[in-house]
Amino acid sequence: MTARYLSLLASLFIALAVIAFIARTPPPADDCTPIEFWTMQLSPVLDDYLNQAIADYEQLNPHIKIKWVDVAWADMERKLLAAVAANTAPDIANLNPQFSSKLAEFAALHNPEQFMAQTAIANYFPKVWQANQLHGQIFGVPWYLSTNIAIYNRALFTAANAPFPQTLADIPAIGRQIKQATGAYSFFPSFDGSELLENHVLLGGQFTPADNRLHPADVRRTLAYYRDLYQSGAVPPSVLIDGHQKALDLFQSGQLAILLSGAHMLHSIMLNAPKLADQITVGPHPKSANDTVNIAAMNLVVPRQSDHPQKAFDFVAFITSPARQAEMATHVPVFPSTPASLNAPIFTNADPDNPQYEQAKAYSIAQLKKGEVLLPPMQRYSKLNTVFARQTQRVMLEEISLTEGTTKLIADWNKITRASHD
Amino acid sequence: MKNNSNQSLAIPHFSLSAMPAILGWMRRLGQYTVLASIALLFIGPFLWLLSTALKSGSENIFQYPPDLIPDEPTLSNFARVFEAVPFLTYFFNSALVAALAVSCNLLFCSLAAYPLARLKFAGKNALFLLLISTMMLPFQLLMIPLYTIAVNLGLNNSYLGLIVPHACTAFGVFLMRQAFLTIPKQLEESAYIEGLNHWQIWWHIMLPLVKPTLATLAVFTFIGVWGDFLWPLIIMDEQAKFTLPLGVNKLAGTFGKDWRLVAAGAILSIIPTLIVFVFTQRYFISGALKNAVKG
Repeated sequence: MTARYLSLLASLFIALAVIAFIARTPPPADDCTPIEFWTMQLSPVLDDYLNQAIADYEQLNPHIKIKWVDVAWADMERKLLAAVAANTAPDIANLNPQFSSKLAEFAALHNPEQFMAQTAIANYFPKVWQANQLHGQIFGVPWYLSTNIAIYNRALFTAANAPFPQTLADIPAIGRQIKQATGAYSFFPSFDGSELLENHVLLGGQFTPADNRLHPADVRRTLAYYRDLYQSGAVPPSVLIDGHQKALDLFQSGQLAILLSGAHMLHSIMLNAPKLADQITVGPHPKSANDTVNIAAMNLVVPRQSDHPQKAFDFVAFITSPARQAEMATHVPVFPSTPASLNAPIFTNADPDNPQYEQAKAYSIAQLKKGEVLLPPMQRYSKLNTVFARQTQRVMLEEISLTEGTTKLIADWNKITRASHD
Repeated sequence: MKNNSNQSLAIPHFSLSAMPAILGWMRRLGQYTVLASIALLFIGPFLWLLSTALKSGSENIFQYPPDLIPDEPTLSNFARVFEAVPFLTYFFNSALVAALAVSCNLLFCSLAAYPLARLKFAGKNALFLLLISTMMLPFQLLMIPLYTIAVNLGLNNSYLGLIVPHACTAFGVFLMRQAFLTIPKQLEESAYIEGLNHWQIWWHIMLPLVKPTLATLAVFTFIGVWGDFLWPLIIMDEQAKFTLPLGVNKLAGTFGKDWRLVAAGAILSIIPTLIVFVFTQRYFISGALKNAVKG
């Protein structure tokens, strides 16, 4: 190595190091209170909307500086846990109910009822607001909502001469008919997320209010339903290992007849399977045993590490206000947690150029009005979901009988709930 | 008749003499078929990614059976990537971080490896064992303590925060130590006789002889830093400082994924890795000792 070569490398290294060193974040101005606001993968689609909303808020509150950080959906939990461990948690975080309740288990979140006015709280769907509750304490403010509608591949139903299912109970028989006529699958009730336990409730299952215990007859009915789905060929074998994304992939490839998903999925289907989009019919979610539907809520929570909880909740109330949520819905196909937003033109006027989405929107709004968050926040939710899934899968594969599956599932479940309440 | 009998005799004679060549040719054919099949298996996902990136908006991405050849190939998806996200900013950030991380890793790992390979001091083996034992710990386990240290040092949300964890790795020290061990001691002893000190020996004798290992370590480090997603996600908040993996992830929106865009972004982001690999692959099979003999 020559001296010239060495000095060239050294110069390059020093130059890069200088760039890396000087490109550091300047501290916020002293007269401003910084509020850090984390969202879950809303950028870049909501960049314009959120930047404008933040600018409006800062204009109204000149001593507040909102720092918006958009985090990848899949890794929000890890980033937040790392931040909590390092005592650098954000003032506001956008989380799903399961992770929110997990943090609430450790009393890591502020109760919004201690910071928000009753008039503000009255803005939200009462059942959705109450669903964010663990041990009598509210832990999050509902932001945008979603509810599953049915998206059908009409061509497969026509080929099999099968009707659209009216109830969840119709699906195994219709699934068998479609499988025999076309070779395609009908349904993909995935085991990721909370779909299994939500389906348990939709099939008539209940949890005891005090300690979330299960009723044997409910469990037996759910296990029998999943076993029938699997044995009838209505669901693909990959349902045992793949998540909801696989359901969407199969539907977009024309191999799945029914997709139960949010209305926003129509957008994905139109983008990725434009030829299939013409064969789609949308409908309401097939009726459940208790004639209700599930509402999925995305929350805003304020961690206890926040130095400015009151100011954080003030911004939460602003960004989740009926007017702001109606404005947000003009940018992305989501539904508001505030019923007053549903009177905005985006929800009352129909777009004639997009009839499928308009139908989906109408079904979704109707479902929001009568639906509820079916799954209560539970301690050790992940473990409970895992034991439920494990025994359901064993029954589907006929490794164990329905009776054995029911007994084992309840024993495993109770062991966890007992430990939670000891 | 005579001609015919000669011909009939000649055929088996010719066939027998050609048999080893034919067998060799068939063996090679078999080997290449197996190798090509394995290669296809590995590059299959990449080809599907490329096919998706080249498909036009009117084609079904998920059609079954899959169609690898686009009906109406287009480059517009690549252009749309630049419109959707500040791709060049992410590219610059990744390049800056990768260049510094690779440089630091080569420098510090070779500095740390030299005494472990060549000098005699108490606890050398224990220190080495302790060092390589850290390779057994998954990053997920180290993530939170590392983040806490980075925050305390004021490195969060900075390029330095991205570089420091890659600046000296146990794997790099291990690799460089093994490379130094293969160099004949006589070379070092000759250098002592010539009056060189340890620093001069490290720089003038040892490093030139382990250039292939340095290149290998550079490629491994580059690939690791360029594709790292989790650490930049944890430590970086400002979008203007996002590296490519974080930037490409933004193409997959919450309310609808356009897979053509995601595929085009992924293809663009792996091009530098391929370039680095192409320019350094010739060192991979070279041995350090071979260079020493040449020198």
